[in-house]
Amino acid sequence: MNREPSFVVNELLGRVNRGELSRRTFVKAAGILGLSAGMSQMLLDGRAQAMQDSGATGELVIALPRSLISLDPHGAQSVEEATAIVNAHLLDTLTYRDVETGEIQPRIATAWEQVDDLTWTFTIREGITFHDGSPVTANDVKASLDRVLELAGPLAPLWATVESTEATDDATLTIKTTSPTGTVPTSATLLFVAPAAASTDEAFYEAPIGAGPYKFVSWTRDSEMVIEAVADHWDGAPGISRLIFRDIPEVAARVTSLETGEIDITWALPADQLPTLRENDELNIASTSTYAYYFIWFNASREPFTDVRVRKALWHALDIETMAADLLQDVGVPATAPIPSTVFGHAPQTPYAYDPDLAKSLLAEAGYPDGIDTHIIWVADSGPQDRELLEVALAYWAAVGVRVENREQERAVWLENLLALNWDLDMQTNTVRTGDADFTLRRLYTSAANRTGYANPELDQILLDALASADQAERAELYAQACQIIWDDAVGIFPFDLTENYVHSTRLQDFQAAPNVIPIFTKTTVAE
Amino acid sequence: MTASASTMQNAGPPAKLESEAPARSSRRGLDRKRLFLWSLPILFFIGAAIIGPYIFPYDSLIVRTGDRLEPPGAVLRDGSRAWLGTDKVGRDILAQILEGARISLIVGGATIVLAGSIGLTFGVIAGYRGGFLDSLLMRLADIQLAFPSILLAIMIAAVLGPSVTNVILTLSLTRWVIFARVSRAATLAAKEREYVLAARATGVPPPLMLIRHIIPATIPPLLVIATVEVGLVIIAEASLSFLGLGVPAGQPSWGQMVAIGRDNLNTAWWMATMPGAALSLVVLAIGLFGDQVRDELDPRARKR
Repeated sequence: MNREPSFVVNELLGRVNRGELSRRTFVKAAGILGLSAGMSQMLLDGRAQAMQDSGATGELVIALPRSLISLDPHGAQSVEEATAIVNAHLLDTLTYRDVETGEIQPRIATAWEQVDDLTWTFTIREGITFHDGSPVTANDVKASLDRVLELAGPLAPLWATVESTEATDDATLTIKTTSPTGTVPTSATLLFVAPAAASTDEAFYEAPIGAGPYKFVSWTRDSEMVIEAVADHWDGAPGISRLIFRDIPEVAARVTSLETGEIDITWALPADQLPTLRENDELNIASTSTYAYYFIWFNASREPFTDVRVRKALWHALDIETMAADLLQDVGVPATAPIPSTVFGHAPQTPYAYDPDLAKSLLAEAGYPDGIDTHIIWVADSGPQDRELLEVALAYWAAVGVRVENREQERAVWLENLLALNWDLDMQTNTVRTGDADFTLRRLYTSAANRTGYANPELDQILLDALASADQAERAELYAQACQIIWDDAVGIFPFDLTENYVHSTRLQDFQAAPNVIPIFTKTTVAE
Repeated sequence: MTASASTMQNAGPPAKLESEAPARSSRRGLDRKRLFLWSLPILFFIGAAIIGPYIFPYDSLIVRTGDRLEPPGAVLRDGSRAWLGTDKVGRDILAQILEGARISLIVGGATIVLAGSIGLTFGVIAGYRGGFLDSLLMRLADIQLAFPSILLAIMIAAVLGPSVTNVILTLSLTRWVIFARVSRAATLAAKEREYVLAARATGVPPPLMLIRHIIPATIPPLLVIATVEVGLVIIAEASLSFLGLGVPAGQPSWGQMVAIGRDNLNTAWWMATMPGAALSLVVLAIGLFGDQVRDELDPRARKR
């Protein structure tokens, strides 16, 4: 066959696939080149077949609820959802937590074992490479873990008991701990692996090379991030050839983009937007209970919150049921423990009933018959309907004589005050990132952590025992005790567990709603 | 607006323009009527700000979550009517706008008085003394003018923190320059007038000279500037509150209401639209009123 026409035919076929040319026009054009209609048809069908075989087709435009600030998954931004979502596709993690079963499954590590009380070993998947072709070895994993420890970011507490890390050979990573640590494989779900040679260089994270199912294409800060499918990935080629993360900070603009089809999926929309979107035939909503929840902490190192009766009074003053039904609607339900019901270690507790009279008598009993004057710190846009929830809570408290000053703060100022215990009340949301109670309970409620001024040696011991144990049934029992102590002592008010609603175009198929709010798109496909 | 208005009046037949008293007085009558007309919305809002909150009381701590996001005119569960709708926690928008009108007008008025006083003092001193002090004050003003005023306001407000007093302080610090420049120019002109020279020749001491002869001459142009600036100050307050740097949470302000309502534009348009409309109306009315005041006070504009 002559080279020229075949080249032209290929070019035309390409155009058909990109949707620039209709099949009919193709057949006509091929006729001019001397191809019979039957022949053109065969070419078209064969092409379609070939496209199905290679797997990846189409583009998916994702609008993240919060801007992507950094691609560095080890440092200060490591628990940012945007950073974690992009890196889950780009770099990949050592292990991952199955959304449905809650089991820890292999990713870069194929197996792990607690050799003795203080030693864990991970076996690294053989024959896998980074996007530049270099092999993934235990040394790369070690370098990434060392970096998490060195940068002491928000993920570092997960690895607090690590004494040393060692790449015993190319395929084996050995982690030694100072005390028995049962949570290592769970923590490994958040360990993003970067090549050892480059991982310490900040510039590397402007355009990272990883071992994930997608590779880096481009990143324009505050605008767009593009990644492309790796066809020969060990886990099979992803279903979509290109993922585009578009930055649209305004909620109203994000909703409009969704309605016009400019973006395919977004989430974390206010409850008031959902009814309209639900009526839209071109959109589906995938909802799931998440690892995220609301809480209102009391500073137990300050009067009058040193008194458990005052803390309970403020909880009884709130009509949690009504607030959930009227304000949160589809984005939350009343909580039943200090951790969400989806998390490992959750144990349901007796709800605090809405009882303003009881609240008043508890306050009087504690020595505050005329109520109290206090304040609350919070940051705008920290969770769904946060401003409304806060304003309604202030109203409920005012009704029992608790006058709470609304101190809305800028994020950096708030964080500084929060960590310095420079507050009376604090309202915020939080996500149990690993899906395991240890992440939240031990990180926040031990005397050593001292995040709320609350100290209880009995609770400390329970949480440390739960960390040490590798027996999941025993751990569940210990966390049930911990949940009860925190709930009954009203260390904070735990009003709502949050539901995430992923609103997406109907052309998305096999999308799995993620409870950790880190949705993974590798198994998702788009209809043409 | 003024330019076109006065051109329109000038466009009449020249004979009539030249013709004397009757035509002049009817034109003056028209101006007066217009001045009155544009003062009406302003008076309305001042009245609403003063008595409104007594008729439609607003308490940020009274919420009705069952009546949230009701559209304008809706009848609420307790039988009352929300004329401009309710917000995300069931509070009346009308009551919030009236309460917000107080904030806007207090901030607008107080800022103009404060910025005007600072500007007048510096401007008159600089213009009267001249020399090094004049250069120093005016270069200072030039430097400040080089910064966009809202940027400067954001910076100062972020340092001071949100409160009504701080907003007034912040906006005064960014606005005094205009007043200083105008009063300096008026002082320079007045200084050379014959009655001032005569006063000086008779040995009137400088402080008395400033109070008796110079300052009165600077007042008319300052009044004109003030009417223009009030509108800008009200917008600046709304901008700061929109950004969360203005009045503290719990105290309604138009800018804050627009900021909170903008996420619901497609589901509850009234939340942002109503305070936005109130803001536009007041600023527009003040601007047009200011134009008329200028025409009244500026003899050249009148005779032209």
